[in-house]
Amino acid sequence: MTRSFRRSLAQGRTYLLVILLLLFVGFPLFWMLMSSGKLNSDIVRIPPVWIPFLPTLEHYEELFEVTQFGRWFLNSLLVCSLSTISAVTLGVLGAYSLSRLKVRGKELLGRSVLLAYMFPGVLLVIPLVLVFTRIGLMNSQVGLALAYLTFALPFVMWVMRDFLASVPVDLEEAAMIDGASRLEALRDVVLPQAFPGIIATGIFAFLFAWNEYLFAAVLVRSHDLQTLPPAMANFASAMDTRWGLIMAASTLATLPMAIAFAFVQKYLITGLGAGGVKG
Amino acid sequence: MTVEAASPQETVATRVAGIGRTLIPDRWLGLVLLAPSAVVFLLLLIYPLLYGIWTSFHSVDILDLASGGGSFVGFDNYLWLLQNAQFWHALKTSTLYAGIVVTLQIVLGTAVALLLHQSFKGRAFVRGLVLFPYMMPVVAVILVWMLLYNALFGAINYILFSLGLISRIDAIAWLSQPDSAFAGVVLVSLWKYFPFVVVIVLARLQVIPQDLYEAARIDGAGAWSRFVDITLREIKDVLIVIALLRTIFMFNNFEVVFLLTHGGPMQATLTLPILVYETALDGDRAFGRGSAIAVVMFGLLMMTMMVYFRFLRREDRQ
Amino acid sequence: MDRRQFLKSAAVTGAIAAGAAIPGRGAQAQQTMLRFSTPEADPQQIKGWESIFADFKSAKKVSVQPEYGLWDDLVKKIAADLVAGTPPALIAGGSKPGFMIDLARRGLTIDLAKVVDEIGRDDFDAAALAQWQYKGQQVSIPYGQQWAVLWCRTDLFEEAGVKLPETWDDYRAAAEKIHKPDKGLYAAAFPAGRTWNTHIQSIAHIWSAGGYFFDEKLNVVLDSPETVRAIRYYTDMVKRFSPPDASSYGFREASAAYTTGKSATTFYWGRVLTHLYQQNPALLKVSQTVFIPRDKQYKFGAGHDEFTVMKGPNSAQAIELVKFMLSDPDQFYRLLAPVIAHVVPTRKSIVPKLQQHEWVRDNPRIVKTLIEPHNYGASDTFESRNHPFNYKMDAMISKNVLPDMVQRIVVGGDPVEKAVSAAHKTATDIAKDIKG
Repeated sequence: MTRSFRRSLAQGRTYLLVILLLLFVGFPLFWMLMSSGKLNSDIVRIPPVWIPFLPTLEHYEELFEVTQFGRWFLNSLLVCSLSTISAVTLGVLGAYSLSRLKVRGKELLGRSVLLAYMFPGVLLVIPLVLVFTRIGLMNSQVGLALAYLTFALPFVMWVMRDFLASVPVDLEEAAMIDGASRLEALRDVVLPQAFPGIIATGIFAFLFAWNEYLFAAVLVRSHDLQTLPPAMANFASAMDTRWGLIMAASTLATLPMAIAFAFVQKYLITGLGAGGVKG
Repeated sequence: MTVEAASPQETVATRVAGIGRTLIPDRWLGLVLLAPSAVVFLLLLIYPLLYGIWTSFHSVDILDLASGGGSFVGFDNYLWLLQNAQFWHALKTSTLYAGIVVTLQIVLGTAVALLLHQSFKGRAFVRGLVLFPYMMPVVAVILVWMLLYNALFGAINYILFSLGLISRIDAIAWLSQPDSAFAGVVLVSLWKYFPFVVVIVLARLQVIPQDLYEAARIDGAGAWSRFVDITLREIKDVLIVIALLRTIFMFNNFEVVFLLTHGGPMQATLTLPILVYETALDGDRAFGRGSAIAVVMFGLLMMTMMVYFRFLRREDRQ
Repeated sequence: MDRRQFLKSAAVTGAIAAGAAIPGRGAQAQQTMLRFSTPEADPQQIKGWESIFADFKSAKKVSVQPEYGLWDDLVKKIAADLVAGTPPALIAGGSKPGFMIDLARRGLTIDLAKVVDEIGRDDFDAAALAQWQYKGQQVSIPYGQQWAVLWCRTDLFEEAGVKLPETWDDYRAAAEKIHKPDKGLYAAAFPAGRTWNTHIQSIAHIWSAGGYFFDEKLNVVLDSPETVRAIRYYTDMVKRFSPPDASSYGFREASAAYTTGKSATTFYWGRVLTHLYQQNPALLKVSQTVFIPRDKQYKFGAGHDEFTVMKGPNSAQAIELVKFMLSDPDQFYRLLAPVIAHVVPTRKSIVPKLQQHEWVRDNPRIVKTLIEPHNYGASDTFESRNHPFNYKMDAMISKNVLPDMVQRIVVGGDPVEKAVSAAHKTATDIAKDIKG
């Protein structure tokens, strides 16, 4: 077997696997997109309407004419950005402290951050309401962003801790010998190295908030202040499901994010420019 | 690396950042950096947690929480729980569900991350697409899959039927039989949450020094041994973290299962979070009992975590 | 954009986001508003609420702050509000009499008997009002009521040469002729999922056979021959004549089975009319409804949509709003219009207005049983006129006692007697712990 033949065989295998992956991930998405453009009667038809013959925009029209979809979208964007930025900032600083500095009791704190995940959200929400009422953040988007911190922050801290630990200490020390302060070394040497991690954890902190339903439904009530998940859930009550409407709404809730993240995810690679660890 | 003497902006940045070295010793810096997180944890985490533990020793209707109604009942709620067959059943279901879903997520997620780490045409597109399921709101995910699973007009059965794999379109009622419903719930959870693993592992793969591979290749290591000795070893830590986080997350996941099956059929998908919901937040609203279930779940996850830490420490020593 | 720029712009975005969020909150804290909470939150329904509130604002100068959410979340939200000390002033369409009366028993609601008098007690459906009374208090005022009926495909019945069913035997005999699963046609769609719908339909069958879940002293009496008879019939109809996925059916699936033309009959409320107009108008001409077939008697669940006023600083305005919606026929009609023929007004004088709707006029065979009054209604909280208020039933519903029983037979293959007595035991255990 020649070398080039083997390589093209490997290439072929890669493409085959990619196609399988696309089918698995893509089919339900395709179905969502198609359903959003079908008449209600076609969504539940057998044999299925594979590509809508008479595409309709009625669901999208209803979304913007009858519901406040645009407003909910912006609300979601606001809450998620706020919670992501705070989570990443606090989380990276905390992770740095955990991985590099000597702090008494840091192991305890490092572990306790995981407590957030261990208690079912349905019960966490009642005492949270108590806290938020006390500090005047009930029915507030800032309050909701703060609540999301309980999930996003531990996650960022935990994953970033490992990332930061993988950055060689000597690079940092070299910078500090050159006269940089520790925080400068963190900013100029460590963070660039850990950039893929920051982007990856940031994406997830954001998407966690983008998807979260329970806290959003209980902590923010006013119709005008609501975020997408609880507002959209109203399209699908137990009694009456607006298939077309919910598919259109999910398409619009997913697509812009996907485009944005397709853009961001390239930083997973290019973040590595400066350091030279990659050899 | 030198400090550039340049724009006023830079100077400000230097001065602010400078406190790290000159004014605050590292010992304090560590605390300062952790302090904001610690405040958040205390207020939004430790307090709710203690609140939950406290109510688990009380018999209290959720409507009476405000008036402080309800009475101290000691370990009654826990005794009730131990004798409740449904609790044991739900515990088993939850453990199975979380275990299977997390294992599959990690295996599939790592495999996909390795695939997407290779270079091929359209890689950026595929990487973007893989994230989609994670972005889709849970309600939408559930409804799309319900459309696909439907035994009367679902696409899955139609495809199977068209391929001649089943004799009638309605031959498989996915969410209506205990085993296939469980499998159906697992599949949706896998589809929805595996991108999480892909992206984290992919990011970790980026920072593996390439010279390790070069060196191994020179030493004559094959592809498999390079994978085991380098890739797997490098991503192991992050995989363990993910496994832990995901286990906790899936164990507590309520929405996917509840919306798909409500815990049926034959309680085959009745997980602990659903039991908590049925006990504490609806019907007789026995908040104390719900809290007791939650505290037990908490304890179990705690134990899992401790085993994990012990494991880690042993690794460290080696 | 390099990394640093990226981080900087992210920080700026964050600052803007924080800045934008705070004024939103401040503006909202300044005004006192009437908080209104409802799970009746379909987009069209929300439109209806908004137009009522706009009129109310110009008439009475009170703004309403609406909160729409899922029915599943109602208890959670009210409980959280009570913990926070800020309950909504008005709750609409909770459809949970047990829960509302539990609120009343804690003194959290306002007695609305006077409001009923002021609007005109005689015009209200007395039976509907009675469902929401507790110890002389009018806990809530029902504005709409609905009951499930049997939707039938007349073309398929004619083809099979059978009449629309009145009794269980009729129904079973017709089903035998109509059922053609190999052609993708099922005779019935009895719900058997772990859902509320399964509870509603199965308890109605128990009542029809003359059985009860609780006796008049609120002891569980599920293990009666009547229950066994009803559940045997019910599960038989699931196994023999319903689609293979009936054991996952709740509301939406039971409706979809009919509207897609897969099943010849289904139990459902008036909402199917809207579904047919939206999804399969061809079936309108060949659809008719009859009462759910009976055994010993016609008896089925009557559900309501209601207004409950919570005690608080804005109770007076909330009562004003209730009067505004119930007194003015135009406003009242707006409560019914989003799902026509699904919500029947509890005020008799409003019914003619409903009958003017085009869909109602065009489909007399469908709407007759949905709209005309009858005496067959019962409810979970009052299984009969002689039963006291039943504060135990909500727990049976939330813990899916009846659906689990049905599934043990349909999916697990248990004998009916065994499943019924197991359910009886489970129910007794649950009831034991509920304090009166």
